[in-house]
Amino acid sequence: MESATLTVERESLVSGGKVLADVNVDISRPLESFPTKKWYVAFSVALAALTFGGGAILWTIFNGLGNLGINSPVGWGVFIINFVFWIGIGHAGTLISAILFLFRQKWRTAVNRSAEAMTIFAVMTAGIFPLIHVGRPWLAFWLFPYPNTRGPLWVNFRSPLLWDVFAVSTYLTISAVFWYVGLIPDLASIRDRAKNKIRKMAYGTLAMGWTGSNRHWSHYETAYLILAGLSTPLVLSVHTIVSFDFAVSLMPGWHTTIFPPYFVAGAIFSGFAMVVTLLVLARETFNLQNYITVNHLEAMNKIILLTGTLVGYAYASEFFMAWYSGNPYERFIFVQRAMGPYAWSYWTMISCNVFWPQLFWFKGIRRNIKVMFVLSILVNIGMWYERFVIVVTSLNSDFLPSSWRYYRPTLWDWGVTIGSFGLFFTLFLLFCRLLPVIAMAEIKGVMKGEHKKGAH
Amino acid sequence: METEKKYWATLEHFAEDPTFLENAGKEFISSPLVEDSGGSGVKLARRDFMKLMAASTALASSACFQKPMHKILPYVNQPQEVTFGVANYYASTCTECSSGCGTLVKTREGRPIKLEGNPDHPMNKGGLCARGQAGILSLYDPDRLRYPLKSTKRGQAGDKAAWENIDSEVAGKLKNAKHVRLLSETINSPSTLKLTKEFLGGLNDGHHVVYDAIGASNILDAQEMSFGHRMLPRYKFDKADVIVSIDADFLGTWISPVEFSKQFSSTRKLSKKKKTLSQLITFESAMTITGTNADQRTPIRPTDGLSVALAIAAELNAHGLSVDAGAGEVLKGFRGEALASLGLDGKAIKEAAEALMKAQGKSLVVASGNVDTQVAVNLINHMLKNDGATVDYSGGSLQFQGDNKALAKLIKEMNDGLIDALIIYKANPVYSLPKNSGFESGLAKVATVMYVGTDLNETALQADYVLADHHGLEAWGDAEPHVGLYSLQQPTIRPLFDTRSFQDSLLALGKVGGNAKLKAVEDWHSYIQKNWQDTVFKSHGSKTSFLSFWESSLRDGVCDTRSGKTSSTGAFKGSLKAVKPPVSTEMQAVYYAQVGNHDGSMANNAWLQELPDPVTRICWDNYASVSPATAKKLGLLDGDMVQIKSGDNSMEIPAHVQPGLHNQTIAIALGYGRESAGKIGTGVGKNIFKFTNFSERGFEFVSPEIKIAKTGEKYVLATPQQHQTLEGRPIVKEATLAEWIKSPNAGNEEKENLTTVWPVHKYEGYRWAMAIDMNSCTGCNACVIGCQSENNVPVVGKDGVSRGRIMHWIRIDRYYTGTPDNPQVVHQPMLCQHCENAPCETVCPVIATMHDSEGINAQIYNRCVGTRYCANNCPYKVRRFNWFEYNFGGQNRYPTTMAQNPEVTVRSRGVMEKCSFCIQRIHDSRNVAKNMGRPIKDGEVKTACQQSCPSDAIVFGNINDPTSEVAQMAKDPRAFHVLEELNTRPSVTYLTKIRNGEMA
Repeated sequence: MESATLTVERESLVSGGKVLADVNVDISRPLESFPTKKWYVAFSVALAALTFGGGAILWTIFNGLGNLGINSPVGWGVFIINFVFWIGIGHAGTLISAILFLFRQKWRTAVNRSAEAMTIFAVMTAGIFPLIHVGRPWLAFWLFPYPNTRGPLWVNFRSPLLWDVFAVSTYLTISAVFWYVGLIPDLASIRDRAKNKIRKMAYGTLAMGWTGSNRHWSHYETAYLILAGLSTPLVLSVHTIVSFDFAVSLMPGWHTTIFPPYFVAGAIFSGFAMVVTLLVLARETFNLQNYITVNHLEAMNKIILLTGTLVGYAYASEFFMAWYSGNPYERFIFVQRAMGPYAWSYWTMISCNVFWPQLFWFKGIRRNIKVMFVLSILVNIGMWYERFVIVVTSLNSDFLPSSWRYYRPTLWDWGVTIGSFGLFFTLFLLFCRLLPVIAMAEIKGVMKGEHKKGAH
Repeated sequence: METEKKYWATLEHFAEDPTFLENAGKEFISSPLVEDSGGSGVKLARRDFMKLMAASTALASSACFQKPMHKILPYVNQPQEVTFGVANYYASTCTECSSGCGTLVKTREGRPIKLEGNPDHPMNKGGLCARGQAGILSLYDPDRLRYPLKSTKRGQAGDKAAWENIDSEVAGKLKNAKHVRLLSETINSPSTLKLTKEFLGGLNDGHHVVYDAIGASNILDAQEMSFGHRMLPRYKFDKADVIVSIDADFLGTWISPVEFSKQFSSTRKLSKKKKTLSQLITFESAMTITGTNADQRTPIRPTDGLSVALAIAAELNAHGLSVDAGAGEVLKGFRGEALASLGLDGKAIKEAAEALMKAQGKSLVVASGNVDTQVAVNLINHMLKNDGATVDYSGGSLQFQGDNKALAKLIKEMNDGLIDALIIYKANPVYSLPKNSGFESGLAKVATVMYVGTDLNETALQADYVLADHHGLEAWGDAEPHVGLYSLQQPTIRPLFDTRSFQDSLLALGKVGGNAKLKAVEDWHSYIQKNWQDTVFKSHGSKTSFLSFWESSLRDGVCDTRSGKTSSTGAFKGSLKAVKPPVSTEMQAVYYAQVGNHDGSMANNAWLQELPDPVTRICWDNYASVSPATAKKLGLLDGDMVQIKSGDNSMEIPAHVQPGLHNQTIAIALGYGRESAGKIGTGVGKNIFKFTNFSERGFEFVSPEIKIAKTGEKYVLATPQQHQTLEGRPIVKEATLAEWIKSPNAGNEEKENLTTVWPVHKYEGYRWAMAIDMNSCTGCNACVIGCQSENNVPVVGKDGVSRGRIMHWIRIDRYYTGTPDNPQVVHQPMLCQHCENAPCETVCPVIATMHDSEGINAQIYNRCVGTRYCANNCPYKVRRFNWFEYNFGGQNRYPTTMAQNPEVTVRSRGVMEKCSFCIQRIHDSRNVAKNMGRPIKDGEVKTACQQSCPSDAIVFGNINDPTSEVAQMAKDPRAFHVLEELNTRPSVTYLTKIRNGEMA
């Protein structure tokens, strides 16, 4: 891989006067020492949430979906909201690692590893929801087209839910492979640093005999580039297809062509916000301020500002189209959203997604760790409510007024939601303990003065 | 001499070769039974091997079998009339109320599974109300009495007793009693009446007192006062061009609603030939389906009924219809200026009177008020010469015979300690008589109380002996709802429990007690037969033998000996009472009967409890309805608890804001608040019977002064419909009669001309479709229960309904238009529209819902994983999801499951379900047609909803056949589809509602 011949001198991507040797030491430290108290506290909270959610899921599967707040007409509720929410979160990782890679955005090296991990865990978390939201979860495998003894019965390729199955499973597979390939050089570094046999064997196995030879590097770079190329369309396709679940139906407020770009923008928006949340936590917990610098975070805040504004534009154009189309049902839904029984959720969404991110126009705020942490969380609250608004307000008052009904999630809905956060953070905290949160090999390539030409 | 000849076959045989002899006895030389398995040394015949293999495979597989074993006992001799898998229908009579509609009992393998109206019965003509159809569930009610009880302490359930012991003890007590009374609901069975007469005749001072919780005693009393005969006339709504109803809900609950709905709906049909509609004008305090179907409806206060009747009479008098001097004097006070001071709407009364004037002899005025109101109504009908035209006195009706004067006398005698023994049959006076009646104190003074009925209800708890009665489907019986119109009731199942019919109990008691007349009677069945031979057979004048007459009557279920001529009655000789109601601004209350729960006798029937009220759309509760203006004044919202006080009575009850009530009116449904109904019905709602007023003049389901105050507590009222207006959407289309005559597509001008990019379905042969005439549908909800019974639709309970999970496959949406003070109402039956471009079909990932070759949108339960995407994408929201396991636990205890239709899959948890156009009924007809080698005829397939409809609003058939009725209706200029612009292309067509009057 060749870098551009004309290079503009930029502020170093790694601060604190670190040299190459420091990288391995600093980044491997959390893997090679006993966890800190902070980690234990965080982990037990996450595990408790996971246990609670797991219990809620088990009881719901045992007793029936009636546990939840869903009803007729609101047949989808918090489970589908969570699905879309977590899939959205999963977008930033691949965007950072693949698209920014292809655009040669070097600052990505500090954040891509954890962003990709986040992607995979988010998609895993998301993947649980379509399975448990069905009436008979033990038969959910019927959604997969495979030769079977039931006739054989085939699936309905016209159903967006089936497209979802393909989109999400493809995305999960590619993301996981991409992530794993990127991990190989680092796994080898850890293997080489290992001081006991078990550790050496475990990381050795995962490193697949990486020696760092030129030949290895050359193959690695090619594979990485190909995978980046493969992942890039997926970033756009997954949420496009998730949006089809809604756009292909005929419900007012769902049946609209703006959904694919609107969903993708929203997904990147929420994904970046989640990356900011996680990185702020990671750099504080593991003392990685010199690798994940304020510059990195600022760059991400800029993307949050951009995508947040895009999302705001989508909200506005939805309203415009509802009025312009002259469709009374569509119009009614949008008036209901802003002024009806769910106005509280709509205005939560607008303020968190459109209003508050505007603060990032100010450089001081973009670079203020505390403020951005709060804002990133607000963005994700807003994005959760965006999905709430989409899913619930359309179903709750559709065509026939006789069937309209208010939807109110129950304890079980919230339990499973908390559990999904528990699962996500449990996995992420385990990742922080077991794998290097920053791509060591890549960060070395972007350190100032170390390489004159070429990366790594 | 050789005695035996020896025959030999071969030389070896002759030589008696041992090898030959060994094989000689065998049939086959190489036998499959004994076969050498080669040189292995193991001798195992092939057949034995097969047997062992089969047995071990069977054993191995059965070892993994988890389901519990249920023994099936096959018929030893298959009954001739039973074919497995083919339903048998028996004509019978409905016993759920005393209207006595003719029924067809559908049985499968000797088990009744559905009740339908008998199409040959001249009264209900195939229709059956929600309560009648729900009777099948009452048969299988697990809380029914299973054996007779003997109680040692009143108020407590007695202990199981043997019939012989009960008979000897009770017969002894009855014999020694000096005054015996039988208190029952109206008995419409002539044979039972004869039997009770004979039975009571054998006792000391035995008399029969009839009392109906919700009956027609006031009408009977008024008839006596007006014309001298205590006779309930037969009303002929089909002969009336103008109908005025003052609080009489004749389409829902008044006297014989199915009969009246049939009659009324025939006057509401429109066609190219018939361009007239009857005009229905109502003055209502509560809001009932009669009011919602009215062309002009005026809300009144509960006490206004009499003034309205008198004001109409006065107006008619002013138009020149003469009355006698006394009446004329009274009517003077109800004319012109006086009306305003009485708080009445003079304009509405004037218009009603003018409409009546134009339809003399072709109009009908009915009311459900007190005796004075009834007398005034009799006068009006008399003035209009409706007697003998729409009010028929030829024989009259026997559907309600309750006599409140006799009841009052009985209660007085009981309190005086005169009655020694009281037999109560079916009636539940402890529950349904108001506190001030003194019944309970009187009952305590009766030495022996015997209760005969199917439930351990409030009255049964106060009895010393409880004689468990058969359900109507287990017993013989007959009915005479109209004089001369007889029907038979036949048992369709062996009694499920150790019960005995009331009549058999009387016979047994009579025999033990030494009743001379009953001694020779073999049993109740032969008693009916004998009675029919003596009476019906004779009056019928049949030339055949009695046996063939009996058999044909049994087969038809009905024997009509009425003359068919109507006759009027004598001169009006009643005197009007001009009790001017006090015009105060106090609140008043009216207590009305509801379509589902009615008098509360079927409170343990979950189908009825979950049947939403057609107007308020609330189920599982009663509530105090107040007008929106009053609610605003009192600060009430739906579900606010209020305290109501009338005299000494006080009660807390949830409030409901009901458009269309007079601002001074509180309307509360009767029939709730049962204290001992069973697991379903106990404690549902509040018992408002205790608030009613009882006097010698009868019941008053009215409290002239009532205090209402908000308590501040909240209560959840369960309803499947939370939004009440149409939001201006073209879901229901309507027009006035005048507009329709001008242009037949009035109100239905906008037609979508839509194309589709999808390939269209091709239907060769049949394509099933439905048409619903919105003009006929009264919103009575009979179809909902018909569908529930046919399709094993589960009940979800109050919690389920309030969480939006009612399972009904067909529902009657109710929308208001106009102003909340007095809105107009539309009822719209909504079921799966079986769209040609079905939105549900494309989105199901596992193809659990498909379009079949005959246009039915089929749901495949065992393929469904329950994503609920189809329900979300259904614009009509008719798909129902099984949120829990509704069918195998909870309320579905033995023997309730026996009420299920074996032809319809019982759905498990997690799958979607919805209307199937009764596909099993289509298959039934298809089988019949196939066997006869002909196509299915138009009208041969009837869906359950269509079959049960008392107003013939639903038509089903093959739309591919242009001559079919449904195809004709789909081509009518009035035809429209709901949400046509979505291009879903529904198979269900609606016809516009045409109002005979102004549109709101």
